[in-house]
Order: sequence, then C-alpha cells, then structure tokens
Amino acid sequence: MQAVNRGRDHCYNRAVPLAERVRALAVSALVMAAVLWPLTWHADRDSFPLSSYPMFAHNRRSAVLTAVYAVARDARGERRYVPPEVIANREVLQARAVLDRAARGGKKGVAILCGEVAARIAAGQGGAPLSSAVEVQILRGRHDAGRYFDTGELGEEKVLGRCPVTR
Amino acid sequence: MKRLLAAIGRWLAPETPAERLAAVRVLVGSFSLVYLGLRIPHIASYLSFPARQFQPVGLLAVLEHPPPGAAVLAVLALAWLATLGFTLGWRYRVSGPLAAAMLLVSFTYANSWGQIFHTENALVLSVLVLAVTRAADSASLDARGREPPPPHPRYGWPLRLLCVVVVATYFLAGIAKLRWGGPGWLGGTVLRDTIAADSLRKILLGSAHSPIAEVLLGQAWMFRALAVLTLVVELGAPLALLHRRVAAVWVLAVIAFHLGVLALMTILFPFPLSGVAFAPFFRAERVTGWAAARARRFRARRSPAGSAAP
Repeated sequence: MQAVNRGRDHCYNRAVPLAERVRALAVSALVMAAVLWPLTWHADRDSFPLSSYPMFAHNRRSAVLTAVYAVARDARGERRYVPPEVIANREVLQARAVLDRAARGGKKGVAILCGEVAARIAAGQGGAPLSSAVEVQILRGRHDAGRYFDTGELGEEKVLGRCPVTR
Repeated sequence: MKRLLAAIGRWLAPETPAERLAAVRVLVGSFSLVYLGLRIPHIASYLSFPARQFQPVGLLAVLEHPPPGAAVLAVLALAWLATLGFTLGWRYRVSGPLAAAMLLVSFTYANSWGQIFHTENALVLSVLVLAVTRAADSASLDARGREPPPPHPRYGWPLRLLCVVVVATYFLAGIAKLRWGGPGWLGGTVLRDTIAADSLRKILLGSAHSPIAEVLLGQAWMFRALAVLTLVVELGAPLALLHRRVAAVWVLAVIAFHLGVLALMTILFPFPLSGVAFAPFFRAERVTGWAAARARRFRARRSPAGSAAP
C-alpha cells in the first residue's frame, strides 16, 4: 500500500495543483533555455549572468602576448610596472580592460588615462615602490612569454603616451 | 510512452524532503552574505571610475550612463539585507526574489566596466532559482512552530534545476573550447601558451603571478594532460546528473580543476571551491543538520542550566 502511495506521490503531475505544476515547468524551461542560449552566440559576445564562458577558449597560436601596460619611471630612468589598483582597481583583468580601452581611444584616450594614473601616483597611491616616480608611460608591448620565462628578455615596446608625475 | 513520461517526470521532480531544499538555501544564502560582504569594497571601487568606462551588460545594458553612486550603495545595502532575509527564510516570498534581484543588479554592475569575470555567474543563477521556489518551507523563520512538511516533488525540481545550471556552466565552457579553441586545445599547447601569456600579463600589470606556472611551463606533457582533463571535466559535466556517486566523483574533479586554475593562474573561483555550488547534488540537510546540532551543543554548554546539570 505504501509503495502504491509512494508511486502516486512521486508523480508530480498527480500530487501538485495545476498552477504549481505550470510554475515549476515554466521556471525550469525558462532557466534551461536561458543558460543554453549563449551556445548560439558568436565568439566575441559575452554577458552576465548568462555566458558562453569564452575565457581561455580561443585558439592561441603561440605564447606571444601583445599587451598595453603602464610603467612608472624614476629620475634615474628605472621603471616599475604600475599595479592594477592604480590603473583601475585590484582586479588585474579590470586594469587590462581599462588600458586596452584607453589604447583604442588613440592619443587622446591614452593621454587621459596617463594623466589619471600620474595624479594617483602623485597622491600616494601605489605606495613606496612608486614614491620616487617622475613619469608615467603607457606602453604597448609584444613579448614572447615562453622566451621571457626562459631568459627574462622582453620583446618590442612602443610608447603610446607619457606624462609627468607632478607632486 | 506514459511510463517514459512518468519516468522523466520523476527524474525532473523527485520526491525530496523540504529540509534538503532549505539546506541548499541556507548554504547558498550564507555564502552569498559573506561573499557580497567581502566584495562590497570591490563593487564600490567602480564608483570612482570615469563614466566613459561604463560598458553595461545584461540587465544594465539599457543604461547609457552609470547609475548614481547613492543608488549603487543603496542597492548593495539592500542586497545584503535581503540576502540575510533569504538565508534566514524571513518573509521569503519577498526577501527571496528581492535578494535575487539585488544580487543580480549588484554583480551585473561590477561586470559592466569592460571586463566580465565569470566568477559570480553560477552564484547569481543559483539564488535566482532558489528565490522562486518553496525553499523556506523548512529551516526558516517563516516555518517556525510548524511541523516540517512531508517529502514532496515540489522540493525536488528546484534542486534538479540547480544541478542542471551548475552542469551547464561547465559544459558550455567545454563547448567554447572546442568551438573556438579547436583541436589545438586538446594538444595542450593552447593551454600552456595561454597560461604563459597570462603569467606575463600579470607581471606587466604589476600583479602577482603564479611561481608554480613559471616552473611547470617547460613540461609540455603536463599541459597536454591538463588540457584533456579539463575537457573531460567540462564536457563530462552532464554525467553528474545521472547518479549521486557519479556527481561526487565529478565534483571532486571540478574542485581539483579549480585548485589547478588557482595554482597556475592565481584565479580564484570561490563559489565552486567552497563546495556550496555543488550542494544541490547531495543530501545538503546533513551539513546544516550537523551545524545546527553543533550550535545546540555549544549553547547547552554555555547556558547556566547546562553547566549546573550533574
């Protein structure tokens, strides 16, 4: 008897009022369709909270990295990489996005970001390592990561913009 | 045909104790409370960003300009308070959907500045699903003084759906690697070059990179193995829906995968690494039951009546 009842209770169609069944079905169908929808997206499309999770999926053909980054130089010409919290916030990828966007904005975009970074360094952001900086440079570099980790050598760099750190 | 439909129905909505769904609510809610609390400074850091960097996504894509700072702070405060209500199961019909909506807005805002992080997707989707279910019928302030309801399919389908959501996040990531990475991904060179480039990028951006990656980059065979294992874990994710034991093996593999990502790329995925993301696969009520029993014992030890007892 118990087994029979259990079987009946097991069946959602019999045990639950119609409105609740419809709600369960609608929510399940909607959520499943939504999470699978990104399968139809192009490679360069992403969103939140729905995503096709394209990170690290692209067919990288070599370890060569083209990146935009910022360095702070002191009076002797020694340089230090400007950390993400001075460029954007503590997220490295956020800093990358800000730098890439500035570079896409051409000389004007680079000049604006460079000025902002220099002002933050002048205000003490970046702490002791950047306290002697006199100039900020925004660079685009093309480096072979494999070679860098073997020999410590970087590749080519191009200065996209520079600005003084005025205290 | 009728039998098949009944079997599918049973699979989609298995008879489940209310305590299990409630336990998942408590676990996901507790995680969200702590996580949001820790992430508020990060989310608030975008208030100082110039408006030109605002690139809204998802729900916020309709905005042309970033929302005012006061509105962002109000949403964050409301998100935290509503998530507290969600976790405690207090006025759940309001606090559940409100927590889901506010968390969605908060994290969408944080992903709307040109970089989507992918660390909060599964968390937000889990809260969204839980918010529209009867997850507060047990172990909640709303259910105080009531007899626990009997096991029912209405507590089963949300858990099954949550499992599907978690599985889908990994499966889609695997599909993306096959679609856009191609066979090169399986060979391991794409993975090795990606990790090498990522490490160098972190150096150039003045951030910490993984010393482990630096040491292992020369071991091509290892990246071949890691690439295959990554795809097995991601594309094999749907197998976790078949049986709890398979799910246990898969979850261990996923946690190992995330530990590998953390070790090689210094990228932390807190929701899966905490294990909470996978609670819907298991008898989560055992965890909350254990925690509740510990709390009761602790209270009993501290209470004067308890200490006076012979």
